[in-house]
Amino acid sequence: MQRKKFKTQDMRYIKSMRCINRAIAYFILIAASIIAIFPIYWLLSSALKAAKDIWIMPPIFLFKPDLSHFVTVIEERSLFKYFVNSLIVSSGSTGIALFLGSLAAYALTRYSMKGGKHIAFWIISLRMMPPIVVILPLYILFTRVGLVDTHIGLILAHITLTLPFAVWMLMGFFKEIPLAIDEAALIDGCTTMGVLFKVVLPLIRGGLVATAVFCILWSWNDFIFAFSLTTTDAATLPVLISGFLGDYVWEWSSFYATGVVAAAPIMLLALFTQKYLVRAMTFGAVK
Amino acid sequence: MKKRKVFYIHKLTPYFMILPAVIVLILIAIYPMVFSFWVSLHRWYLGRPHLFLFIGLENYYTLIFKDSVFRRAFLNTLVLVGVCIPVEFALGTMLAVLLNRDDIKGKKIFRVCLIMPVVITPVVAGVLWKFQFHPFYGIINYFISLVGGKSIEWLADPRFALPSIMIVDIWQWTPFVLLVLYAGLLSLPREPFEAAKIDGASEWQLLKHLTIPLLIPIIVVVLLIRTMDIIKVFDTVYVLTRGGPGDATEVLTLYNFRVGLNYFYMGRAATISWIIAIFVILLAQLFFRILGTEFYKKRT
Repeated sequence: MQRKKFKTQDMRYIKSMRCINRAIAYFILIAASIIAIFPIYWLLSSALKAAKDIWIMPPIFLFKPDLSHFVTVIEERSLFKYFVNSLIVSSGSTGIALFLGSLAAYALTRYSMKGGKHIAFWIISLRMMPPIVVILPLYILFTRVGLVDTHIGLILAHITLTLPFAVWMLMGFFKEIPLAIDEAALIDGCTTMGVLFKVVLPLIRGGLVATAVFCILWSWNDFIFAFSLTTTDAATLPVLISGFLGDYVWEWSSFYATGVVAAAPIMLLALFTQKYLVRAMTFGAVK
Repeated sequence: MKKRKVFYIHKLTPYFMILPAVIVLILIAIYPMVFSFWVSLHRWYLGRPHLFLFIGLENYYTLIFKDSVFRRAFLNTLVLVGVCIPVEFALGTMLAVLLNRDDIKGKKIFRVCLIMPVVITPVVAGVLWKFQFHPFYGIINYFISLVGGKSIEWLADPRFALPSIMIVDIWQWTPFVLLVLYAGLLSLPREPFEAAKIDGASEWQLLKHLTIPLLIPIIVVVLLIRTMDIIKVFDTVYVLTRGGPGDATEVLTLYNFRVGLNYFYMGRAATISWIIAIFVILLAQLFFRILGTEFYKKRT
């Protein structure tokens, strides 16, 4: 009798410890999530607040939405031009990277080539190179051939970010398609290019989209290339944003509105491909 | 192998397929880097572009032994690596282990929240934090004042400027470490854990003797990627402090940018680039050495 009583108490103790343990885990995770998204909440809410409400501390949570900042940046700071520039540059560099990258990745995964492994490692090591190493010489070369502040120049520069990434990412996806499929298509009389573009690429649709999204992400979020190689005509959104914080004037309301336009689309896109985020960020080392 | 080769009559096809990418990369990455090395052996000021004077390794000598700002930038970069990476790793591991617990619900929601800092445009994140570091209107000083502390001039005080940058970096990249480690945890086999639990291992013992040893390759990958990323940090520092006050937050990439594209001392800037490059190449070598075989599995 005595023994049984002790046992139930023991169980209760373990159970309550587990409960506390779990509560602490929840608390830490929720706190971390709040810290992670707080600045983003701040961005969205401040963009909709009237200029005077931005400065109220502690921050107010109920306010009348005010879209005037968006109108201001569109009218006075030609937000639209920068947005289009960002769009042109990121889609251009992504398109080229996907095309060249899928050819190269297909060759690297499907054929046993002499030195193929070395080529693959050489390509990925370019992705790890700090951009500044390439920027200074590119700046000198671009001034000579008149590519500074042009879309083509910036697209070329961004290819150093997107192409090595696309090659490695696509190699991972190609490896998941069994070779038997290629062979079957070849037997049916398909050409090598036909196999790649009509059979294999459609099969890795999801992976292709993920690769594209992350190429767009690198290109869209890039600041150092755009800031060094463009001034006005081809400047992208991050360049415009960095200009809001001058040495004397800080245009907060304009920043918040532009910040939403710059950050929201890319965050939404990334949400749809979050399954591949880790894979993309580790060059395919972790799936 | 032999059977497959029958189909590939055109032995040169793969080379033709890989060629465009290789040519493009040589033109826009390798050629500029070689050119940059050539420039680094010269004294070249873009204000007087025709004076292109060969001086051998003098630029390297001057930078390493005579340039105090460069040394400061190097030191700051090392401090960033030394502080941010351990903190991000510790926090990331803790959160990943918590998120991986069976009794936690709503994992998807936590994941979505924690993905956001990783994918937000770094310039936007930097400016958002610049506001929060504001001595009067920022939320950080507001919380400090709530607990009765003195307000801190985060970005204007040399003592707090570098820690401010660390805070932003930790905010932005801890979730990345967490997500990678969480993915690693999910990929671990279940059996050894069940066996250990039956044998009566405690949570802590499981973590120490099973989880961490099994995760070592992934841990190394994440640490190396973070190190290489911190060495190239530019956006955040530029937006928050531009290297100031004084040279309190000068980092390698920013100093490199400044010497090259603000002062136009191209020879010296190219030299800094190459010093950074050598640094990163060594790290990347380590990356490949540790993961090389696993990293490149050919299923042909």
